[in-house]
Amino acid sequence: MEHNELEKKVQRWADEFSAAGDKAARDGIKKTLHQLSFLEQKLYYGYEPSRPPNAGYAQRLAAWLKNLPDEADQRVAMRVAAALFYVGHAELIALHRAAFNGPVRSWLVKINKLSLRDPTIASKIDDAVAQTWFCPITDSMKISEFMHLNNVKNQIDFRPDWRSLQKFGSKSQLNDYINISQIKQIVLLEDFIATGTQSEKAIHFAAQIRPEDPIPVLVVPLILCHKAKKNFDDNHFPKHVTIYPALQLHAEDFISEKHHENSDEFNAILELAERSYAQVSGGIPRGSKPYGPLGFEETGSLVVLNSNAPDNTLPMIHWKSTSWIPLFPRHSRV
Amino acid sequence: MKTRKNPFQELYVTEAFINGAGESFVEGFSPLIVQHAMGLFQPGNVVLKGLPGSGKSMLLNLLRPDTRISYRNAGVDFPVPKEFSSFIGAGINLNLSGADTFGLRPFDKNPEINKFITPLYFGDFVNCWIVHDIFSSIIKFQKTGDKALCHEVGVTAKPDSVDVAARLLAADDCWFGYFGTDLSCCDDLLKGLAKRIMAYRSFAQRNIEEIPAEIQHSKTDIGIPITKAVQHLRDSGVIGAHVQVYVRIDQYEELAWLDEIRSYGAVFQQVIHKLLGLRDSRVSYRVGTRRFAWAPDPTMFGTTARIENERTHKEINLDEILLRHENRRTWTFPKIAADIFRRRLKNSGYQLNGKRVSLLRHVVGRSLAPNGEIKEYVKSDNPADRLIRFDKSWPGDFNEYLRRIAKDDLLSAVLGSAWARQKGKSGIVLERPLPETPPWESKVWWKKERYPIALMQIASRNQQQLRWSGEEELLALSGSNILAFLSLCQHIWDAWLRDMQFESLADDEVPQISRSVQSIGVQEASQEWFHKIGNSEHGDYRRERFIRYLGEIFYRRLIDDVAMSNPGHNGFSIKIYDLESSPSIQKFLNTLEDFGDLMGMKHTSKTKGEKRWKWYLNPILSPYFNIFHVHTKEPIYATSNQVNEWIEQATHSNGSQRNG
Amino acid sequence: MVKTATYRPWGKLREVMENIGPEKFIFLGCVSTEDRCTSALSELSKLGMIDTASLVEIIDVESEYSELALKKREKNINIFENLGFDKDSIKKVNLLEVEEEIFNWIEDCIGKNPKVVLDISSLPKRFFFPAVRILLRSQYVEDLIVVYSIPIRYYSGNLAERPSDWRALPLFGSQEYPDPKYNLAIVGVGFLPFGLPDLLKSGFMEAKPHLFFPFPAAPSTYTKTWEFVRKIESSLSLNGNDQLAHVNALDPSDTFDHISWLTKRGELTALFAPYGPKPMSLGMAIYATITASPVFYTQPRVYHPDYSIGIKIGADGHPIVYGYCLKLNSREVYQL
Repeated sequence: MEHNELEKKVQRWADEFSAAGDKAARDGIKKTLHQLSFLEQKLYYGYEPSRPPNAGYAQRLAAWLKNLPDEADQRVAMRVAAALFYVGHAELIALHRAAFNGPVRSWLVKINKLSLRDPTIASKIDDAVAQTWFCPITDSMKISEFMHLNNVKNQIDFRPDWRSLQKFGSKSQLNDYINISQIKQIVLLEDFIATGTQSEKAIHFAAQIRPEDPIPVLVVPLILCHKAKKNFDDNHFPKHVTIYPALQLHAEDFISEKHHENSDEFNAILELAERSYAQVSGGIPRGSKPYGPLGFEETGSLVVLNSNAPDNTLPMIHWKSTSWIPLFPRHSRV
Repeated sequence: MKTRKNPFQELYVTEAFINGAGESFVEGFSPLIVQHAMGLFQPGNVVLKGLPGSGKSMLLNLLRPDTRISYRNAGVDFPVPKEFSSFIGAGINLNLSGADTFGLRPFDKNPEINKFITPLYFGDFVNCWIVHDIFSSIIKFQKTGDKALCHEVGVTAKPDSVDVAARLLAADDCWFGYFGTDLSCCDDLLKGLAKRIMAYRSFAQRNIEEIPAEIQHSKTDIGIPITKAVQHLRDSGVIGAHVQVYVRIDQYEELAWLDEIRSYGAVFQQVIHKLLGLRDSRVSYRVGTRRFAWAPDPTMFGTTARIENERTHKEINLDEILLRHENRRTWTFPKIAADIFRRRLKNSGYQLNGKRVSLLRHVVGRSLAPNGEIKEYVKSDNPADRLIRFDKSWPGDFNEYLRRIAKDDLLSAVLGSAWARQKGKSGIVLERPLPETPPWESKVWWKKERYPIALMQIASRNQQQLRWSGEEELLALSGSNILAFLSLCQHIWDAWLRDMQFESLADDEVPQISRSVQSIGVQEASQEWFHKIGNSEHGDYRRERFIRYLGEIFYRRLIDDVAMSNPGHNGFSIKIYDLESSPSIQKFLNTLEDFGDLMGMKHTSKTKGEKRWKWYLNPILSPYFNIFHVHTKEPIYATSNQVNEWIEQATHSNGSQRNG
Repeated sequence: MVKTATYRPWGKLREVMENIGPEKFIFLGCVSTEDRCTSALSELSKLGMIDTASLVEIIDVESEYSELALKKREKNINIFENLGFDKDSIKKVNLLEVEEEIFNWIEDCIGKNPKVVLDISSLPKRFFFPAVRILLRSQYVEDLIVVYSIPIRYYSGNLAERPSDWRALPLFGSQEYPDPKYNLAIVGVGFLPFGLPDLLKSGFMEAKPHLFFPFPAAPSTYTKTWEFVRKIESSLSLNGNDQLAHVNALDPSDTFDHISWLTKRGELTALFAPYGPKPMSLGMAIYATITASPVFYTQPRVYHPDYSIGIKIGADGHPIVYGYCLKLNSREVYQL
């Protein structure tokens, strides 16, 4: 089904709704199609795993809907497509800048006890930045992009990812580097933290790098999901660790496995995700990738990043199998 | 033309005046409309009434000097006949100038004094603005260096005489000595006027504590400096004696809104009325307004005297002029629309074939006759029973009779099923033998009145929306409104571009757009138009809710009327005396008309001597409600109480369908 | 965009106020139907930083919501009373009041205390724009902090109705004559365009439109914002890369910097249309005050009584309220 076919199909649906006296549904389905066409031009064209010569969004949408034989399901699927939270390249840049101008700078002011009344505060913040170690938590965070976009300059030119450091690093070597570089504080950044499972060990490691004289650690997820927030809260990180996301997503932004926690719309999506899972997964049992209808750790995310779809996002969006064509195919590293 | 674009993407090319973009105006403006508003280009005051999109602003823009110069630069004949084209245009936009913000800050702490002097300052501000604009317009023409143009307009090409006029005006008593005796040239006059205007603006912005004393003591009388300016310009030979001066007053209707903010709106309107009341042959005023924003008995500031249509001014109602009346031959809108259509395509780089009679007709075709239209809905030669709608009580052979008719002519069969339900006609069900030729086939007018409702019911029974296509339907849906027409074209073209995105088609080839694509575009235009009721400037969800409710009433009545007894129930009518005794209902309905949500017209009642007024939805809204737009037979005979009930029910109805 | 080397203090209210305190401030705010209209004053009272409060109760034009709106405002008045503020001192002002009344309310406060907190959370733009201008320009005001509270959610339907005509906000009209040409029309993108494309085209077509897209933003807000852009683009052609900028919805300094960059620090003239989030609008108000630029808006006459619900609570257990420093020790924090 090409896009034109899809438009014709949507028109037929609109006719049927109108004939049934349901103007809201008629107008709604057409609006959804127009929104998706518009977002294709503005946002979705940049999806990295599907750059040319791979199929473009319009083709993928048509093929994705065709996965579902029932037209009522196709309509729900269109609403899923419209409900996605797509973080494009421009959005990512904005998150980098928001992370620096908000969480990072205000934290530096606080821990260095700078006075907001001081007219030279800007240069004092720059001094603090010079003694701050900006690092990614995992290798998916493009730390250099963060540094360039925010014009962050300091002499600390090693910026390892702390998940790897936690696995392979030497505390003593790290402490030596910290002393030589006169590092006073550490900022750990990550693009997307859904559950926090990958990050928590790295954060603990950084927090304990120098137990006798703890180095303040700021953790800045560009996007932090509610499950990760809860996880971090439960972790009881020490006082010198601050979690301050650039963008916090809340429970109502996710599909919950519990019906009573969802809106009607999200329940319709949940129901479709559950019912279609066998087809989506190609028969793979739950527990293995793609981890169930709501994705890894049942996050129920609707987030798609320009670089990839996270595995916490509904598999019906990103999973490819013998019986399912995805809308935003995920590239898995392992 | 490298990529296909929508020639109608920008709806407002000629509606607004764009400094330096006059080329778009020249290319886009259809001169055919000028002849219908010739009063604008002849001496005498004019109140130009019309809905947004009626062409009001477009016509008033012709009075601007920049527009005149743009025509000249483009080498295109100015669309006003030569004998009427010697004029200078100037004007004021009451909103953009800030004139309508007078009163927001008191000029005097004493409320009584403030109430008295505020309209005087308003009048003074309007005077200064217009005088400045008159002189500026003349200078604009002179600065072109185009002697022929200056001659055509009637302006001297010599700048010196303007200085003379400026000196004479500055010395005139009408300014009460404001300009002093040092003013030597026009530039000084303009600076002095600008300084005065800026003083008012600075006061409004609270940059100064009070109006400077020199202005306080020299407030001018509304209109007097303007006529004096024109007189001195004539006396100094700057403009010829034959040259008219036309002054535009834009956004007059905005003053009607001011009562919500403060009480000066009505008084400021009276000040404007006084300009018309001067009836000074030296200057003619053009006031652009919505129909009901113009008070029925306008009085002049400072007096109880009224201004009157045909005495102090002439009223031109563009909506009325462009609307289709009984005699289709007098309907002027189709030619204007076709011309605008052609211009838009040409300006977008499409290759026009000069031999085509009507480009519009080439692109969208002719609208289908009812029997042709029915094939759009039902392709089968064996139409399903549900399309005909039998009554349970009918004998089987009568049903079979209708089925046989339906095989060749479904529309006739459906009309037959309505005929058989009507009083005085239902006997046919038992008539034996059943007539070879169905009796309704000989009732030409009976059928014609019922084609629209029959098609609507067939479409609905076949799970389809009404289809819209062809030149005639597009023009009818436009309601003789240029903006509506352009909006329909915009959406149809958009739908066509989407349909064609994977096709190869020469970029400059004029397309022929299929009916199904046109229909999609029309429905989308209608939806946008409906949502504008609540969402646009001065939008109001109370109006939107009422129109939605009304549309639903019409739809239900027409769909459920299987006997087709009331095929005209896509409108309603009220007795005039009933309306006049319900001022709030009258005001509400006037507002709906003024914003183009409803179209109102005289109704010749079936009861002799009864005076009624009837309303229909703006035709462009009909696709949204899936009802036909044609006016046929009698509308719903309603009362003001009934309308009031509708208003209340609309208010309490579920507004969940509203989309922001 | 070139980063500036400035820092304009802002952040969580408690952190900001504890840093610049301990001081006592005069609080300007409003009683509205929104729950969040009480949170900033409540927080500041707990910090002991309130000298006096001057509150206006803003009353919409009569509508079918009037009864419910009154009940909600009364509920909030009771909350203010429980915080120790005299409810009889609350000034009733109509939403479409004569501008002089708005200015009088603001100016009455100047002279009472040179340290001012202005709560824009529920203040309509018609009020908070002139307030920002008057307070910024007042020599008497030494400290000026603008605060903004975050609700739990916004109403899912239409937030406001019956937009009036497109006109300059009070004190933000054009002061020059003849009217200058504007190089840029900078539009803060929000939820309801209210005929914006038509307005831009009919009044200021030479001004090149630039849309400020508020981001980071929650998914529900994000979707609505794209819908706003789609509606504008249906009649106004925009070059996506050039004319759409993502600007931090919570940081007026980011808005200010973007404007400075676009206008080449004031070399190019701009008019503003603040349809976006209030902190973004605040950035526009500050810039427009400094440069005497016009700001246009179609002021709604009626706001939905459930415009926003609740007060969002942060990880620290306190309401999420942001404070923005505009003046500290008579120093203007925002400069071109």
